[in-house]
Amino acid sequence: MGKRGGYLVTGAIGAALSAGYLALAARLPLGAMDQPGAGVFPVVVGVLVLLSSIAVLWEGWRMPAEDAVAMPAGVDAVRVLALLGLLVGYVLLLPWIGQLVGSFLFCLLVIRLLSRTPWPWIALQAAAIAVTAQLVFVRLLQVQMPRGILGF
Amino acid sequence: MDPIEGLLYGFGVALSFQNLAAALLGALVGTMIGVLPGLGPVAGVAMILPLSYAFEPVTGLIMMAGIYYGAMYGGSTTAILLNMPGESASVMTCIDGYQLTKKGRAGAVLALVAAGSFVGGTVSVVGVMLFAPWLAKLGILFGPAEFLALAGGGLLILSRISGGSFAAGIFPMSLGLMLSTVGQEAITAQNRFTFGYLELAQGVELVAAVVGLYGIAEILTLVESRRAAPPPVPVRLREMLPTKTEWRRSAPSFGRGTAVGFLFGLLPGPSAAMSSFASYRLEKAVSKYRDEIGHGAVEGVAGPETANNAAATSSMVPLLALGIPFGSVTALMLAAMMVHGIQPGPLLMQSNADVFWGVIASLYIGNIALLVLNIPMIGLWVSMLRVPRHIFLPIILVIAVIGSYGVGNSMVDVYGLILLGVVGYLLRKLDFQLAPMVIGLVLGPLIEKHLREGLFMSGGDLLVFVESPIALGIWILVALVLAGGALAPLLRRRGANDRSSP
Repeated sequence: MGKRGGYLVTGAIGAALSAGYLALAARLPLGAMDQPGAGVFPVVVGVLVLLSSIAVLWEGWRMPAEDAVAMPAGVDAVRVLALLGLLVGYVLLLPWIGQLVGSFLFCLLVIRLLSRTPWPWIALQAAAIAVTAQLVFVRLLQVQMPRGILGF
Repeated sequence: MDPIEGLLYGFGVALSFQNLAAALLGALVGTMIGVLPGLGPVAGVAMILPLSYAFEPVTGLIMMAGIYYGAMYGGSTTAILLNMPGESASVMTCIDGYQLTKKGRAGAVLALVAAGSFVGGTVSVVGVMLFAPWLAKLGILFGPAEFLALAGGGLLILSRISGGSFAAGIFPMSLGLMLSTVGQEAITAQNRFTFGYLELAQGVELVAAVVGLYGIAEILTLVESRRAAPPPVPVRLREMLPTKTEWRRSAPSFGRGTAVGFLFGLLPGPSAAMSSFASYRLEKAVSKYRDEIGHGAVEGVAGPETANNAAATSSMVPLLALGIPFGSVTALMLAAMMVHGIQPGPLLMQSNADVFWGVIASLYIGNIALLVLNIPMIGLWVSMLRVPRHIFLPIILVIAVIGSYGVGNSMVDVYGLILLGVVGYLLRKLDFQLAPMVIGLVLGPLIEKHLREGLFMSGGDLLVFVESPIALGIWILVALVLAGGALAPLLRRRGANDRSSP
């Protein structure tokens, strides 16, 4: 898809989003002019999102078809999607497997994705990152990360 | 308290052990963030935001300011050594900086950048010290109409001048405003767009949003290419002494860069990046050696690098004096103040003199810290560029997740981090600007507050927003900037058509 297509899709998503948002905003109390309610500002914002989405559509419509977007292709696209997949998997599993184990597994797979380092060396690097993060953030700075079923 | 008394008081605050350590640590961490690809100043400051809540407000703000200008300096290191700008404000530095590296002058240029950043930052602090109290006094006259004009008008100008087309700025801005309405609203405690999830009542977490939009999106871009950056040129301490000629040629550029940077910092928009661009153009226009600029001239580095640090410093003026941030980093600092219960605005100088003057004094200290840290430690920063990306990228991602979760102990914020990371990645691919989205998210509640207050106070009369000369003046200025932005491409096209027609 070229830049023109990207703009048209973005504008259409924005318009749909603004329609849904405005429908929800209309259910909020609007109050009166001298007593504006919680719905007034969202209605103004919803209209702004709608108008700006139309501006995106308009610019997309007038854009030359040959304008390109530098999106990754082939193995590069697979690498980006794989990293995104690992990130999604990490945050979805985090409440169950906990910060320490989750970070270790995540780092293990990310390092493997981005390098050809042998597995034992990768495991050592991933463990170093996960344990350091645990010590600094959870123990030292007292960030209450999910502990998971293993309790850490 | 006059500026001198205020500054002395500020030094008393900033020179406490805790605050001095915060300034030094901020400058150090900021430089590291600027040197490493994957995190710019905005995402770097966002990640430190939750940690700053644990400190006294002034300590947290001093650390955030240190990170900001540390990252500005760090970003220029990769621009000079690798032709890779660490952040947008260093783009212009690549042109002449890398050429000078190829000529074997990398060390000297890095020293000149450190000196220029120090000059720009320090002189700009004097401007902040003199200008901010004056503006704060003016700000006391402001009511809801003036603040609405300043926040709303500033946001509109920012969206228009951030770069790209009209839609590329206004669309992300409106998305940012939309995100700002999620959660419990302040006046009647009504939950909006929470879909029954209590965790959403706190609203969209700023840290997660900024780290997602800037950090995660940047990392996704970085892994597109399998090719790692080339190893940097080793720089030894003895190579860092510029020649007399290089000093002499840089001095006027330091002066011009400072003036340009200070002025741009006061305006809405990505002031550091815009000022470095304007300074480069100025050097090209007025420098005695303008023909050499673009082929490895010290003026092409000294001017822009001085300007971006001066702008980073003077961008504190609208925040400290009026409580209105005109850039993403100052928006984060505003968020930090509000979490601590500090009401930013014209009364800050009286109600929280320690914060106001302590931050200003810390800017002096931070600039000295940058100079002291960066010249002797240049070898360390260069060696950091040798850390392979398969090591630092997972580190950044793990810290991003922990940072986003840690603010509200909520997985919803972490999901928001990933979602906004993908949104940021796609919007950047289409050349949309992300700064208006972040500032829309921060300024949304302020704009709503002033809008509703104005309507309450005027009995529902909309004219209240343009009745005062200050508010009217601001709106006219906004209209002129917007109209100028819309007309400029038409005039350029007409000019081009006239030249091409026989």
